[in-house]
Amino acid sequence: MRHEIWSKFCGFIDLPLDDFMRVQASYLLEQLDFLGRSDIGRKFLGNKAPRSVEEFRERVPLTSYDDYYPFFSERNDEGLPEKPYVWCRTSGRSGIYPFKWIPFTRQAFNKHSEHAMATVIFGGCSKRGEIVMEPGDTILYALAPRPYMSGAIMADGLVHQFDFNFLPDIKTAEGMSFQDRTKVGFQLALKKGLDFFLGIASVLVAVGERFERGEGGGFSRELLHPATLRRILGGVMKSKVKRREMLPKDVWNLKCVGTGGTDTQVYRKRIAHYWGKEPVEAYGCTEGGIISIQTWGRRGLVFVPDTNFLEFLPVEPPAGPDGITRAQVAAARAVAERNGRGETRAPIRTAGEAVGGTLLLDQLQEGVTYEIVLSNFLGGCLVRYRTGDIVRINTKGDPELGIQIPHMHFFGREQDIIDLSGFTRLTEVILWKALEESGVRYTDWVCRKEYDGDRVFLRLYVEPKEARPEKEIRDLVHEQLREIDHDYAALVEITGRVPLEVTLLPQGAFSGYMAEMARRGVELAHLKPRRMGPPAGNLGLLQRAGAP
Amino acid sequence: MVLRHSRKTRANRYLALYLGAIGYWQFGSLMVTITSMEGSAGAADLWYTMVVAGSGSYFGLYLPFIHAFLQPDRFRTLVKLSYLFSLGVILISVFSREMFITGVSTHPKTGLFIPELGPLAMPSLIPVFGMSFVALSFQITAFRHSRSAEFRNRILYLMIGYALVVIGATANMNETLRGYPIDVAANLVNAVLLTVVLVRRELVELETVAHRAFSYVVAVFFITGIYVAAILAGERYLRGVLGYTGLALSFGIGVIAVLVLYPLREWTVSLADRLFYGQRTDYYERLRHFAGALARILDLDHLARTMLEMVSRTFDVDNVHLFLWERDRETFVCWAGGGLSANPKAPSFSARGELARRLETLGAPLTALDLEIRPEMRSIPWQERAKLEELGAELMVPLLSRETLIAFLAAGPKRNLSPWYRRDIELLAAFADQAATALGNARYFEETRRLALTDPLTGLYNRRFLREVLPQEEKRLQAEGLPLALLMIDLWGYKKYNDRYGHQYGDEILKEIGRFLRDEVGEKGYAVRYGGDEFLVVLPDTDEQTGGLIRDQLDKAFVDFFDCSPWVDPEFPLAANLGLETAGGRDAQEILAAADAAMYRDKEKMAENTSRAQEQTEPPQRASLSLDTVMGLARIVDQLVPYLAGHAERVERLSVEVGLALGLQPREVKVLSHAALLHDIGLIASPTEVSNKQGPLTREEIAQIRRHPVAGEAIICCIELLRPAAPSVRHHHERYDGLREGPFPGYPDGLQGKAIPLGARIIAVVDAYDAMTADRPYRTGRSLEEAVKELERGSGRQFDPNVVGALLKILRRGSVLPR
Repeated sequence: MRHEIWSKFCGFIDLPLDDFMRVQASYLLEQLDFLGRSDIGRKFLGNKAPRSVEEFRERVPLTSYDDYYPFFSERNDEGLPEKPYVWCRTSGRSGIYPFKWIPFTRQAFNKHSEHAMATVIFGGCSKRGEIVMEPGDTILYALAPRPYMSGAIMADGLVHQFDFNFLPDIKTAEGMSFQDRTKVGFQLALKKGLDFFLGIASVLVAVGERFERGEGGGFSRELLHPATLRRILGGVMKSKVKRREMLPKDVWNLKCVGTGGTDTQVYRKRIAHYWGKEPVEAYGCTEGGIISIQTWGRRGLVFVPDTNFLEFLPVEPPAGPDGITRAQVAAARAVAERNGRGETRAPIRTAGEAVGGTLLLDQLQEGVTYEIVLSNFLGGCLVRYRTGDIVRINTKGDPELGIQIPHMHFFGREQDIIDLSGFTRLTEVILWKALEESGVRYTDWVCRKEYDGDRVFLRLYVEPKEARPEKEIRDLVHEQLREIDHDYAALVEITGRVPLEVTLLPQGAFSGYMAEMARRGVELAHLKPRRMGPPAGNLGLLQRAGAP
Repeated sequence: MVLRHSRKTRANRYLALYLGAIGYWQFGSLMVTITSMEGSAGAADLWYTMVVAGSGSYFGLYLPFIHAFLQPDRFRTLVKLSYLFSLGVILISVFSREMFITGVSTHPKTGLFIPELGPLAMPSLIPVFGMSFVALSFQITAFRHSRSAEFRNRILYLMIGYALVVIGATANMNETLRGYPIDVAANLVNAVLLTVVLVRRELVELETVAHRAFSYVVAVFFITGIYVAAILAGERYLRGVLGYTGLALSFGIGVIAVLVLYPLREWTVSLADRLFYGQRTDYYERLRHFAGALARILDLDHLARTMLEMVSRTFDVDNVHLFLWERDRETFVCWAGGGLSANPKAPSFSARGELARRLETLGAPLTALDLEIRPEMRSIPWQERAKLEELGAELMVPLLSRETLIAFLAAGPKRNLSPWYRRDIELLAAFADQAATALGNARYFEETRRLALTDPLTGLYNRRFLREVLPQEEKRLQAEGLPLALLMIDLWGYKKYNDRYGHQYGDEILKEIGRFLRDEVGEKGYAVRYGGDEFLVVLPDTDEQTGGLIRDQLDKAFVDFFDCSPWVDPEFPLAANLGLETAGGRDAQEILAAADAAMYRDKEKMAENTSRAQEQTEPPQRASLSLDTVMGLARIVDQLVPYLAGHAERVERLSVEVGLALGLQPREVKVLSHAALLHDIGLIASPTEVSNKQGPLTREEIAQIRRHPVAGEAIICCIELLRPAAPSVRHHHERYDGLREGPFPGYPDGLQGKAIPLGARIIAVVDAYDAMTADRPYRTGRSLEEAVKELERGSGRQFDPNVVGALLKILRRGSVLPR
């Protein structure tokens, strides 16, 4: 029944914060008891597992992947508390490791797949308790396949939970490349309809742009299928009535668009324009699975209570907003370093109530950024693991929707944040948004912090799709940055300088770069250069790759 | 309403179409009735076409609606065909209505219109029957497979709605009934039912509705019938007697009948229940009234078994388990199981766990579905959930006594696979409410009984128990001729522990022995604390040979136990003398006396063996030599400094008490004992005239005296056995705050806080206390109150506050040894 389905998958948003914290504590204590019986558990918890949340936070140091590498690198089950149900790996380069392997138990897999369902339900509903999915609904997923977390948890988890009709079906899709799978998926969607889309936002935007430009895929026999024909004719009629080019929303009536990653925030409006549905976001990482989900109100992402124990390392805010002194920062950093093993990567803001250098969810403040520290529940192995992911707390709850759990937004990966003169911390999302809003048509971009004597500035390397002078692009992006980021605006006002330069890359720079990387046998996830602060070598290759 | 609710799901869309088809049908039907009333055929054929096409379309859309609602994974093509059929029927009725109705004639007698059916009218019934059959089979399958009472209820509502429509449609085919708007009423009710099923979250259980209606019918039928009969009979009788009757008289008879027959109301309700529920009524009634009877059962096992049997019979459950709170273990343990697949070794649940907490807070039954879907239940972690799954528990019912969870029932599935209905849950909750009181009483009784019959120190049975059990065993002995053996046990060497380490230490040994005996005797018999250090094991159904075996096993186990026990000091070996005696035609008291005598014989034999062994091994054992050494050294101090006579022993006894209170391990207590006894041994290195001087000491003399901890350490380090005590001796004059200045400086090393060994901190406090309260040649001792005040003043400065706290607690308890 719909009420039961809603309660089972989405009911966690009704938890008062106290109950949320109780779930966290209860799961943590069970997990400590369970983990403490394994070699890996004893390594972090000692011979006697902590008996309370406070003891856990005081006694157990913060950890990084280095601590787990000996256990995980060979995907060896020995030393783990339970034989993993699935091993997942990160998609991108992770520090000194090409990627990270993370084990998931059966219980954890089930729980994450429940939250994948919650994402789909929230994406489709417009009010509390509404469930629009039905057995046999079609779903197109443009996600990385197994063993990436997105494929293993989102796709396989949904198969496990509900009778969706995958386009193409999971087994067929496993043998296909990402591009082929997406292409076949859309072809099938023309025939069978499309109810749900899960995947990368840019794929949706790319398809929308092709529709808008009237670029069809050419004639093929599949188009003669009656169902396809009916759908296309319906779309043509709708577009004619509205006197514009046919858009995807004329052809398909999507129930839900589910996306993740930084591009969602950038493309949100365009996706709604092309597809008639605002995307719902989920935030997660391979190490922690699904951590927070956006609800139908689309105001930030709500934390889920039962996948990880969540702690938050306060990150230094941009210049002096709430009276935190440097000394306090230094003190808090010292605490974190003492509890952690090595260097503290992100500067820590102090908090008198912080235990072991971290805060809990019920201690967070609105508008402040934090690094997420997580400990897996349900037989997982990570303990007080620093994710390096920075999130901003939007609100402590949403009274309009009756949600009492804090909401967050993904701010950026700690390694991808560029600190400009201590005034502002620019993320990939901010820069990407500015470029999008500037109206400049581009293929792709990267950005670095550079120095010219005592001047510190950003240099944006853009491969444009149209001929425009560098200065014009710089001015347009600069204006948008001032609008989007108040700290950037403050920096400009105080220094009286424009801390941005633009360098145009030759046409084909990014495709050439990717071709070169593919030739070198680099993995799919590393084909593209890092957007924020790419190494000088990568920049050189970009410039060479696009050269005639 | 449905359209407003949501158009996004297929079920809602089909329901909207389905309701549209009903409207189409009803409009035609209404127009037929109006036309009939006007008496002119007019467009009657059109309205009849609408009736036929509307009903055909209605039945055609029923299958897609049911398919979308129940979501079975079958017959998708048939569903599509069914949808097309409905569409086709409507289209045909619009464009070619003569395919269904060719014309209308008037019935010669009734004057009603009779439709003349076209070529497609009857054949269209064939697919209608087929589709209806498939839809019905979906509902029956879903009903049978569903474990949700709520979902089953919904299906029942759907089926009743459908049955009403079939009745209405059939009524149209009957010439007599055709004139009445039966189909209209049936369709209206069905439309309401369908909408309610789809839109409303909670539906009243259909069984409850039916039961209530049935009760009213039975009551009305019987009571009204009897009233009417009474009035008629009264009137007739009175007419015969009085010759007349009137309204007032009838009313009077009616009132009397109501008053006299009022008790019948309950009888009719019970009759209705019996007719409605059949045999289940008996069980429900028994369960309802049984709870009261439970209060009289005080035996916990009996009570648990009775409760479970009752529950499993009433609800015909596969298994039901009773989990009882065990205070000592902070656990809910499976006390008993009922039903065919009950597992008496079911896993226990932590009393601090979330399941217990949630049951206590909720105070109402919790279903497996609740666990899955209620947000606040998410705090119940997966291992507790896994245990419940392992049990197959579908319903957990808390038993609360004064808002504290004392037990809970975990009931499995019913054997007929029907779900737990709301009525079942309410009944079980009411039962649990009363059973909790009974259970509380039984537990209290059991606890009181246990306390009355057990020795509080060792936890073994006491002599009162023996007085109860021995006559019973004696009766069995005489009546059934069953053997009985008694095993008397006496501890050899125990007294020395009391003398040497104090009674508290001795008690710890007895506690250990109590645990040991309970484990060893187990189910074989009863272990009783007979006297101070004497124990008795009663072994029913045990003959001489078996008793001998048990004695030998226990003898060996005692040797191992004494070897391994941390409380047993090798310097003071412990042993057990065992005397066994079996019935041999005597009464229990005689056997007891004989067992006692046998034990004494064993004791004498051991004494003989020991003295012979001592003679053979001429050099005395090292342990006792060492002990003698310690005692001898302590006596030297007494002789050298007369005013310190007895000081060391007093400090030692009180230090041991404080050490035990602070949770020291047995071996640590022994080291502390040695250190406390010898803490002033270094004084023998100081000139006698200085240590005995009665006036104030010069600075040099003070310096000489302050060397005694270091000297003491050097002395006792010479003796291997005493070496662990050396640090406590060296540091017993350190100050807790580490101060080396002032009238009472810390020395010799100026250690501070926890850097000072705990033994030394204990001795420092006890030494000061004894020094303050003891008389000296130059002053009388202070009062206890003054000493306490002084200790409190020095707490945290001169003395460890924890140690001071422990000592004060002992002093306030009055357990300080008399001087």
